[in-house]
Amino acid sequence: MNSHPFLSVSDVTKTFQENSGKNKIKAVDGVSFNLDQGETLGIVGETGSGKSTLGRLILNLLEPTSGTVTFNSKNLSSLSTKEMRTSRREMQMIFQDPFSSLDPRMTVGDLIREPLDIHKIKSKQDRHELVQSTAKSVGLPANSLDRYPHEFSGGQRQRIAIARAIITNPKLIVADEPVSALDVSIQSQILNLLLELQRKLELTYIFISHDLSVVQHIADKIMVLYLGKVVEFGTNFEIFNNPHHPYTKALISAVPKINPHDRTDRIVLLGDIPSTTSKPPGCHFNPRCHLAMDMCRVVEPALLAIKSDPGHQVSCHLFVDESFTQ
Amino acid sequence: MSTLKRLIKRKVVIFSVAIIGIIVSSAIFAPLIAPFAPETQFREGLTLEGSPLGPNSKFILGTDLLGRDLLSRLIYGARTSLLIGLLANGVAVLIGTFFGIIAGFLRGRIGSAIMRFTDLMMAFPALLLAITLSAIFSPSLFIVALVIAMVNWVQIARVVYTQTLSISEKEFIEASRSLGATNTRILRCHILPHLAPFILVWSTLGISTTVLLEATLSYLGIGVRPPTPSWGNIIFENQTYFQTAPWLVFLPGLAIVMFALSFNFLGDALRDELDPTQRGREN
Repeated sequence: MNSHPFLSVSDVTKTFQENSGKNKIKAVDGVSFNLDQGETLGIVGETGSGKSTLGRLILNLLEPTSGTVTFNSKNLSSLSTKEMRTSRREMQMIFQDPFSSLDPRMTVGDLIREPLDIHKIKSKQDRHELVQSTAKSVGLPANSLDRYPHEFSGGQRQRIAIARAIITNPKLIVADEPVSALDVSIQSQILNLLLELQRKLELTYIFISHDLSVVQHIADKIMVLYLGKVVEFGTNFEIFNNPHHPYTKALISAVPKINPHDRTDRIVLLGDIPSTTSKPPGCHFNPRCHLAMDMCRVVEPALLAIKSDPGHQVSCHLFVDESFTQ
Repeated sequence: MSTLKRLIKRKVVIFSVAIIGIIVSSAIFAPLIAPFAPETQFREGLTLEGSPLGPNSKFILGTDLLGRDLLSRLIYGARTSLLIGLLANGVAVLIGTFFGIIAGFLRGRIGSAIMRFTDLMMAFPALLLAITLSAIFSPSLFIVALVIAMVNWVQIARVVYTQTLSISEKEFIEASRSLGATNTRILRCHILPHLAPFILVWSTLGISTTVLLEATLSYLGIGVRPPTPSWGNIIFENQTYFQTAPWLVFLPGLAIVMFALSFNFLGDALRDELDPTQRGREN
């Protein structure tokens, strides 16, 4: 890791206050990671694990309660509102539901042109040309610019959203479950489009998903979140071939296998993810963990790097012996 | 341009535009069209017993209780009603929309302060408020219009407030913010276009209530001063003859209904045409 990582998230925490003001919800709890340009980080976790909140914190759409996000050597929370607005052209977001993230009253052409209008990029004619070429590059038919979003299918709409995201030539794109609202047959088309654009435009992706097989297809590094905390972080290969944390193992065992004889023993998790307002003491995962020890119910494990592979971090008492104590 | 073309294709739009056109032109050209002056009382305009005349060759729509020509009064009355209906209602819509958007978009303390104030206004009887206001200012047509606006803006503010709240929660607003859009841009490009249909429908609905409120105020002696005719006060002046000469009440009533209805139809059609997901579906 060099001294100035492209994107550096350090100890970011976000606490929400419930309406009554009594309960505090720690949606994201002390998350840190570094990412180089051109890499893809996959963030996986169940509903309520804080993955969408983390995505919004990275883009500073939400203000972190503590911790910093440094993007391109700029500390995002120290920027003024105006500076932040100008920096937004370098960092874009793709939302989960293309049916609600596109204004139904704007034509596709206006929607794709909106980022250019906002940042006053290029002259009026040049904008039109750029809109046309961008629409073409994401695979939208040439006649679609004068039509409205409701005339398109989910996959096509997500292409519109992608065109909007890439038109300002950004460096970082946070994609919040960009394919989970789509049919499986369309999912791979969109994923391949994202990969192709990454190669062409040197994009860095933060790819949020609850679907491990999707993340396996696209991510270089994977972060597994559970109740706002990182339970395991490592390269795609390490996470899938050498998972350490029982939660990661359970998630991976739930990925459907193509070959029916290839069936490994599936680890079935009992119960649901606990409420974020009353997290279990000790390791948050202990009530559902089949390997839980007495210690897990009392002491919260730290996220530690594994001796044999320093890039691979795990937060579990089972592996304290094989990890660095920092 | 194409929106205009599609609007013209609707029969109901042609009908509404025609009615509104007739009313507007009779208001503008009243002295040229009206057969008589609206205040002139005719000796031959009443029967020997002093009751109003029915339609005849001289007075096409008959006369009112003071022997004045009803047609002329209706034509001149269009001036008052149009002015009140458009001015009072327009001001109410502007004020209501402004405060509704501010409250819905900013929320927080400013938002709840505005909304508690509208609650206060709603709890207060509108008529009493109108009477108080017009007692303070000496009555004139503009004051009446302003008083009505002061009473009517509250409903619009409420509707706009709730709509703004629900629109600002939509994901495309967050999407636009993530692109770096300013609040002004979000308001102008994303919230206002979505509010437009609600504002349109409410302002067309408001026209009829405004005209009726003006009639009530006129009846109480704090609205348009007689002998200046308005559709409202023609009804109220003549209501005692409702049984023997029903047209005296029916015709100005019809004028109000046609006026309000035309604006309602036009507002509806405009709303459908402005919504790309509804466009071209005539119902």
